[in-house]
Amino acid sequence: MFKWVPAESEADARFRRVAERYRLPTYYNVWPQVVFSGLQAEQIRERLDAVRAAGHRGFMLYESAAFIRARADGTFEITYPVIPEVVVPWARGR
Amino acid sequence: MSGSGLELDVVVDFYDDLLPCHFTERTLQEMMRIFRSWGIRRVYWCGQSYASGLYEGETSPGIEEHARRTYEEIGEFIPAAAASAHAEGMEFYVEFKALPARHGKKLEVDVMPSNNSDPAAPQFLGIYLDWE
Repeated sequence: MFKWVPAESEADARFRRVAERYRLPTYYNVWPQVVFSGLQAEQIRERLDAVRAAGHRGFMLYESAAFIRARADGTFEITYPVIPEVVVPWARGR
Repeated sequence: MSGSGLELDVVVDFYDDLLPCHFTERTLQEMMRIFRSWGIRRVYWCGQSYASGLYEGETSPGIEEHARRTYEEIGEFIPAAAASAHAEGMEFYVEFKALPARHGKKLEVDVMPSNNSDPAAPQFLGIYLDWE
């Protein structure tokens, strides 16, 4: 899990060497509402393209309380709609 | 694998999800239904059992009461969450934070397997890790 490891950083290169040596899949893990703050949908898609291009297997949405909020009646408010409106369609290839 | 070639997974740090209100079985099911509708493949559950005492005496408003009511509703959090995730066909992994210095008390950590071969009957390994 590459948590808050900037692409093309020294840490990224170091972790990547170890992962590749042992053929471990890697996952990129950030707070979407932080790293995508102020970005338009197309810019977000470009960021996601970069995560894929870096060779990560997955993108970990971190963390649920940052984009959905439970209500006492058992339903949820989607507090960060960028996830279902931009990230999810991108992941589905649309 | 998704159409983009990149998996989508999600991390749940249950402590934070309990801040606004308590959870019922319906709440857990709805959470997992939303994740599945987003194409999530794997849920990483970050958070200790209720029995760990982690939620007691916390300063975050409501967390102790929300945790207690949730426990009354669904029992131990991790098995209930695993069952809901498996029912939606998602993998379920548990992460735990080693926070003895912060909490200054013994922590008891439940470890769930990632096996979702039988969503109707999730296995519970019954492994407990303790430290002072």
